[in-house]
Amino acid sequence: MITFKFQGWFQCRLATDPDPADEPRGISGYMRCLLGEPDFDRVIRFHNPTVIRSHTPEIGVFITKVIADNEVLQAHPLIGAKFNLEGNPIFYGNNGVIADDGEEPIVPLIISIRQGDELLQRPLSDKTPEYPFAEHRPNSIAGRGYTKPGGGFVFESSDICEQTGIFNMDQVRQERIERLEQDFASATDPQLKYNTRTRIDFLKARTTVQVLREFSARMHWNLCLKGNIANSIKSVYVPNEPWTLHFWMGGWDSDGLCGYVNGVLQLPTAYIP
Amino acid sequence: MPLNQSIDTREELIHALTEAAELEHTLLIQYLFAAFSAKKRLDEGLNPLQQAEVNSWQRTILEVARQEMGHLGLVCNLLSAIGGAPRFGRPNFPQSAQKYYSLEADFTLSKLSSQTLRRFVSFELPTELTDEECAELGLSSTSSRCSAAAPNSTVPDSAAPDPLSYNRVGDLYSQIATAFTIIPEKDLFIGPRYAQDTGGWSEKLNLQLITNQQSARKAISDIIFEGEGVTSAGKDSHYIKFKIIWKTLQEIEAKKEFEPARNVVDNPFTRRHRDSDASKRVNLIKNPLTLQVAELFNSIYSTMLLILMQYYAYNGESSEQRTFLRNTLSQLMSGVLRPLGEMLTELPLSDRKEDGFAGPGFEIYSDLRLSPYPENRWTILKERFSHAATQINSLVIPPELEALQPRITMTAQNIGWILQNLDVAITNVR
Repeated sequence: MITFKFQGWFQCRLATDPDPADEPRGISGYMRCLLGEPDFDRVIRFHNPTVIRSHTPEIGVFITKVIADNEVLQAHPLIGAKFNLEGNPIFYGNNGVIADDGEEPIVPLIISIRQGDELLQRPLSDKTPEYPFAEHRPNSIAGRGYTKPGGGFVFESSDICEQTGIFNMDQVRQERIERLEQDFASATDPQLKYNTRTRIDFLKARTTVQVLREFSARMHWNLCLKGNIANSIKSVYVPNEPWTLHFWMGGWDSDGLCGYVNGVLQLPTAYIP
Repeated sequence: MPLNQSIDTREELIHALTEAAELEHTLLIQYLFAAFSAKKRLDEGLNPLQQAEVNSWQRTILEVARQEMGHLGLVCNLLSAIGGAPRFGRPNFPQSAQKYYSLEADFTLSKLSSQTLRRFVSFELPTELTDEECAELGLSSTSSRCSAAAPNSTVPDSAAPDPLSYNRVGDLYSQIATAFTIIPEKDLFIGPRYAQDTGGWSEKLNLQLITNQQSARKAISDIIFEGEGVTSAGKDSHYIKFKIIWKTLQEIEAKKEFEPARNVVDNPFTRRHRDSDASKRVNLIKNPLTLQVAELFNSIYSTMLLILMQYYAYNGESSEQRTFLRNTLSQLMSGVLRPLGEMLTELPLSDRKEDGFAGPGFEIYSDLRLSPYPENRWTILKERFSHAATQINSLVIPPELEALQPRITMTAQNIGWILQNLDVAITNVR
């Protein structure tokens, strides 16, 4: 068995309820486009973000470990390869018609590992996804933590902190506000000033509990990939058999329009040639 | 501040709350129409800063409209609490000031402009204004306080309810609040608690259970605080929010800086309605595609009102089905009505470009009544959604409007999938 561990920050620029799912700028929901930014498109991007907001995590999801059975391969050529979702996938909720916020299926769901010219790619299925997209839905939604009676916020799991390296998201927010205030003071471009002020106001308006709830919420997927394989990778022998994919998405940063993904892809009978 | 105490029986209170429900409904529709008319894209003649400014006005107006929806829900809870029925009907637009309701401005559908916002400000006037505010609003100083006329009925203990008399929405609510203190509490609250809506619609919209005088007065006080401050309006009141936009629009229009709204006509309708004011101008939609979309919009709006009636006046529906009805309402508002409503503000009124664009008329083609039998309710809902699905799938979009196609596709999918979800809900009733 070959196991690929992948993790990193992804971008998703999307309007939220009660805005229509295709609202381009973000009017009534809490997500907003800034001046000069392209319209929202809901696309989940593991690489090549369409917008980079200052002082936010760097977008990119990569293979961080390759494991042959139980042996961690220290110098495998696919370590550092790009792990990606292909085909412009979106969180497909349509204002609750398909699924509520945080419970949306990812449609389409096609994964790839790319290193230079080499590519390993497989869709969840070769069938065209159809409503209600049962196979594409997250298997479980971990709670958004809870507030203890008398105060204090309890995370659903410490895993999200360990993987992101962020143990105090509220401090991240406070530090970002300070940096943006400095940017605002030195900015001369009216558009940059407007955008910076908008972000500062947005971050200040979020309560600590809101920030922690967003950050701690996780969607878990446990999938069996059975679609046709495209493979030009030489460093792993890949038989044509179902793969398993386990991952979660969480760590939502609503100012950065990004979240964290962490998971493993397992190829049960694959081996290093 | 109570100006008269004519509301002192259950019948009169139900009458007043029914009028309040109609008012909230009628106001929020006008707000939605103006918000939907706002320009969105840079290719509509806005620069990025102007785009952001127009977005922020649309945001504020939609937020107020959502709060009015919450007020409507609270008023229906108040009605339920005292044994009344929820009210989701209203007359079609336009209605002239003084004719239907006793307010200071016409009820009409018009695009985002300083004139429209001036009207909105007048709907949300506090019951007391300073002399400066009167001058600013062009009101005589005698208008500084609301001045309800004495009731017409002078017969003590008359069999007929006293007529309602008010000239501000806030005044109507003040009278309602007073009525809740006059009518003996032990006799008044006869409605079943389960008939009220206490669901959390969103983070910002939670409806309260009304069980006694205290909770009734709290609900009314919340409505007044959010809307029309009784004496002086708070900074987050609708009155102040609208006033800020009105003033800004006045400056922009005076300087001819930019046009924030699409060229949408007033009162764009598919037909004339018997219950609208015949002396007021309406614009009949002549473009065949626009007419199709407008009729579809109106049909779905009526379906939504039927779902609201079923949700508030349920009769044997399970709690899962009630949740389904509530979820469907949210889905229809965000996933069908708003996309179609915004789309209509980009569709031509007629084949002549100079006639401008249409808009959502929120027309009600006949008095909507709910069947007392749940099975019939579900069957009628399914028929209505099936018909809407057929209609939207039959739309043929010409090349010059192809930019609208993705939105039509999304809306059509939403209608089709709501229909599938409805099938599951219906299965649970049989």
